[in-house]
Amino acid sequence: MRGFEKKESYDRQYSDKDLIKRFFKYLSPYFLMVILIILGVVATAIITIFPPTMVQNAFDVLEANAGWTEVLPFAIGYVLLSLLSWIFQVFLGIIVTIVTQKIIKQIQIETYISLQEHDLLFFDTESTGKIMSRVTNDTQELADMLNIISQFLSNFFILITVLIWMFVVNWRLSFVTIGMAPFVMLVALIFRKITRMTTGDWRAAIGEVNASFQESVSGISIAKAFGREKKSKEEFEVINYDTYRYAKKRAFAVMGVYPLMDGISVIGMFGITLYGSSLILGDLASPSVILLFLLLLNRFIYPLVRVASQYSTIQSGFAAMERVFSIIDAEKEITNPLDSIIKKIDGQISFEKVYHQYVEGTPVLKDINMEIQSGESIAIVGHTGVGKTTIASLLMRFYDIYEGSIKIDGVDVRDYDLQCLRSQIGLVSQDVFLFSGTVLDNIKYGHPNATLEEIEKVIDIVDAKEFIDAMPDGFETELGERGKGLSAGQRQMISFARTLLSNPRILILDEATAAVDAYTEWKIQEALDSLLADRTSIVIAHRLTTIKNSDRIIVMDQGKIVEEGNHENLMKDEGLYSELYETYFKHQSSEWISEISEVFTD
Amino acid sequence: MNQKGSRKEMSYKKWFFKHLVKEKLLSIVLLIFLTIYIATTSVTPFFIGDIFGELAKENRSFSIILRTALLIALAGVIRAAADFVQSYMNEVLAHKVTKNVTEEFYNDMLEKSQEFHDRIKVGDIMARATYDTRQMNIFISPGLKFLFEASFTLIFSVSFMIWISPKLALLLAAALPFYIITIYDYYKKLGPVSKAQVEQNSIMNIRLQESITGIRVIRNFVKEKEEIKEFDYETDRLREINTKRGIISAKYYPIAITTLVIALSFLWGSNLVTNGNLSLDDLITFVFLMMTLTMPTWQAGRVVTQFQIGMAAAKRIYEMKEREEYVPEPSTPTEWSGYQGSIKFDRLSFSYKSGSTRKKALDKINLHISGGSTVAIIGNPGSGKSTLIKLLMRLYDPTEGKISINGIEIKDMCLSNLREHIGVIEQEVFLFSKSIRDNIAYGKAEATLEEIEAVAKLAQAHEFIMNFENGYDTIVGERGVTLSGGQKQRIAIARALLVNPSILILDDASSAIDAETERKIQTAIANVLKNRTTFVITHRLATIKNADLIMVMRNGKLIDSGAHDDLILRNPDYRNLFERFSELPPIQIKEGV
Repeated sequence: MRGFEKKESYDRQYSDKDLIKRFFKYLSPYFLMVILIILGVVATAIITIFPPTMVQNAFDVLEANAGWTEVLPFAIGYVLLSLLSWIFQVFLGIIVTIVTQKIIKQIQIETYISLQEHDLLFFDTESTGKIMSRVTNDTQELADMLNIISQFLSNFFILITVLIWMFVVNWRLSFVTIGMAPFVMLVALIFRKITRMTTGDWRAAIGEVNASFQESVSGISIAKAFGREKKSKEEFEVINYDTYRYAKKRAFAVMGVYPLMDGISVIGMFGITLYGSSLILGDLASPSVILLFLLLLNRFIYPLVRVASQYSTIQSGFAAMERVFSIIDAEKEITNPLDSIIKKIDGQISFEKVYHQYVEGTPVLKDINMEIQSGESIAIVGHTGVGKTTIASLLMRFYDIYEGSIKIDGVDVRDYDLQCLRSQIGLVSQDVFLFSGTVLDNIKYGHPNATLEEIEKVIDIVDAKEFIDAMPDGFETELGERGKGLSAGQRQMISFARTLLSNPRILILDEATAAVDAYTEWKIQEALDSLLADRTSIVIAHRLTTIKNSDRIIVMDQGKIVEEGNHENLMKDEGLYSELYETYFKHQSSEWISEISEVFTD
Repeated sequence: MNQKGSRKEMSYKKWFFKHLVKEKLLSIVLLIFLTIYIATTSVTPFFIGDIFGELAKENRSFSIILRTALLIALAGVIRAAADFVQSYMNEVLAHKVTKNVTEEFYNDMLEKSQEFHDRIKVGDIMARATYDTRQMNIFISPGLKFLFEASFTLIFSVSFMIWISPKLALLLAAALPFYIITIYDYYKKLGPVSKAQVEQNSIMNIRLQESITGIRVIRNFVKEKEEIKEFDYETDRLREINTKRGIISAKYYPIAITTLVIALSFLWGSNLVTNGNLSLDDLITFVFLMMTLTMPTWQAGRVVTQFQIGMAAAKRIYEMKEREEYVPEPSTPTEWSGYQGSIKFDRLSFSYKSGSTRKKALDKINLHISGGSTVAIIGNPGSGKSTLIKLLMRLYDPTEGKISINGIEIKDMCLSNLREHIGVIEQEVFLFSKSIRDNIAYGKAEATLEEIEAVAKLAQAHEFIMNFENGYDTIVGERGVTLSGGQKQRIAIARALLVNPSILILDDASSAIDAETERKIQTAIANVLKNRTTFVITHRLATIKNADLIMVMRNGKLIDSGAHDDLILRNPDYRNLFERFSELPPIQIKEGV
């Protein structure tokens, strides 16, 4: 059994050999330091046995009724050896910390880089919290392994050294300590097992608490709107109490092991004094030997306990490794081609027999064929869910198409350098995401070096000047997470400005102004006309105002293109477009315009 | 208010301590068993000394040795049992305090004003709720456990040592100031680094979360490299801080003093033995007692480390808790009265809290709305439409002026009472990671399935819900099925309808729903919520035209209000809006007419 977390779709199994190999790869730049760590560990282990031996010798001297000056060398030896051991440990601690922290950082940034390269499909299906936990908690656990391995080695060497020394000093008495070993190991393993089980439940409960907390805070406005705070508190109390309950269960196992070991150690003490005394009575040992054994006893038992439990900790570190590597290694379909093409895009687009599906067996696009001339402005209309947004996503190569090809200026999008492709296409999408930071930071996101003039121009185009000026600190107003504090319409306007500022060759407006009021939208349209004149643009819209300026209208239904042409022709055909027009668009113009004509002809 | 005021003066340390001492019974039991544990630990060296005393004799008696060895074993068993109980109690105490703190923090976060939540990042709150509470937990167990053990061991061992040989114990007394100085020095060095660590950790979490949730935008603008560079910087800073902290704690040196003291006391003890002032077995007892002090010296270091982190964490939790951003509840609330909501805005002004005051978000709004009317609010983005609604729900309190519903000022109503009667459907729908059924029943948990289905039908949502494999039990939200904007909005409408509010607010609630469906929904709403006051923020002209009252807003001011027929004739601004639209291409006018 490895780890408690539920497996995700991208999780994979690695053999222990692979994991160890990879772990060594992270260690290899610190080869010298690792050698130093091992040397330090062995040295401290050997030093361990000397201070008690000094005490033993001093005791012998005293028992022989010698003067205290003869004790002096042993006292000095005790101090020097203890100090030496302490200095070694300080150095070990420092080296382990430096290496561990460097490796954590290395793994975190590697995970992060790999996340930046992951397909969007990955983010569509995985929850943010889980991904985050892998970057923060699991990398931490992985790197802690270095610390644990060094402790494991250290304890292991101490164990061996102490055992050898005991055997050398008095082989008969050493059997008492050796005899304890199996019991100690057994108890350690049993407790470790119980701990793991209870820890699993406890962690799962903590996960629930965190998820519930996070959701409550994210949805706080809803809780407030419904006056639901009290109920939420009650619900939280239950989940939170569960965690406490599991923590109590776990405490039993976690806190039980050391007292139990202590008990076993006392039995050891009992055995040593008793058997040792009988050896003394039979002249097979001296009292100082018992003293030495008693002093060494804890240096034998505790390392033994730790070796037994650290072995399983290393196991769970392996599980963490597996989780981190799974993220780093998750298959990426969308990668930069080998001989990528970097060039200035003119803006001619062609879709040839394009098929696409996100889930096997449910096609989203079927046999899409279309030619868009450079500088042409087209509108795509259709019911929700017919695949309009998919067309935009495929053009940006957020996903790779299932079949067929999409070409820009005669070159397949899969052959372009990703950066080159995406930086020349501007997408204003319906789901606006703004970063925390100032309004200005957000607008400049795609073009950080923009001049104030350029910024003011795009702000003018999206008609956002008025509301930005009305904000407490204007341009410098800090926005909350995801642009909290702005209305959806305002957010769309900023996102629109952000895209326009990056001056793309191809502009895709995917319901870009759905949340903006009709009047503002109309003003944006007017302003866009000149801007769009020499660029290719694709407009996906529900509203008539936004499609009125396009050169051509493409009508989609169930993943297919069903009609194509300009407004008049499409209306004449009395197909889907005219139907859509009747339901979606008409009331926005005719009904309302007849109203106006009434008013003005009065 | 008074109570809140006094809370502010309490420091975070006091707050933490208050949580700690609340568990009286647990603490008392803990202390009793701790005493037994340490007492038996300190007694064992005496038995060991006795054995050596016996062994040193010419006529050693094995039966005395056996008896003493049995005493060692007995003391050991009692010690182990007592240790288990006290450790267990300590761990339980830690989790109990953590549980209480988390709960208190959660409750406080729910009570914070909307303005607070607009500004504070979810990631920041979560870092405090998870990482920081965990640090507090670790400080109590094993941190406090170590502290208790160390101080008790010190008291017992030192008393015993003085009892055996006051002269010898003098040495320890001489060493005490060194202990205090070195441990204090360590404490001082570790403080700032621990604080920096906790903060940097939180910064990194926030960055990470934002770059995952905003991944599409990063892709869109090809900013991966910059994001990586920034994240690299943050992780590197965290690494530096962690390394610095690790080095400081590795260099923990009071332990060297203990070594020195053990050696010196052995030396001096030998002197006393050779002079006949101390027996050899007493010296052995003394040395073993000294060795029981090694562990507490180590523990003192860990206590200091965990104290630093734990307190830094407690401070962060406490500070966020204590930000005075509650919407105050009235001391003697007036109950909501009446069925419909007649509303009066009286010189209502509001400006968002921020250093410089540029412009008011709302400026002296005066209006009376009779119960049961449909009110459309129109205006440009930023004209104050949403702010007005937020004030009505008392998510914020006005800077000046007041709002009354049915003659009662909303400040005098209990918050939950007020909000229960107001149903709101927001522009951006937030659904919880629960089933559709639970989401709809959010405001009325006891609703039957029939009721839920009925409102879903009204909201035109029943059909698409039934198309899901699990119907109403389909899980939505981040961990579930992805819904389209229109589907989400319809669930939100059902959710609001179920609570049967007296006042209904539709804040651009149907922007993602096509016109025909919307019309059906509106008809349904009109039937169910007959004679309720309804606020509509919309861009749909048919809706505006049919409203009983239209509020025309600009730059935070209510520039006019009235019915459509009056406004179009008398208000140039309102007419201007219409005129603009008459500039639509003539072809569409022809088509329409």
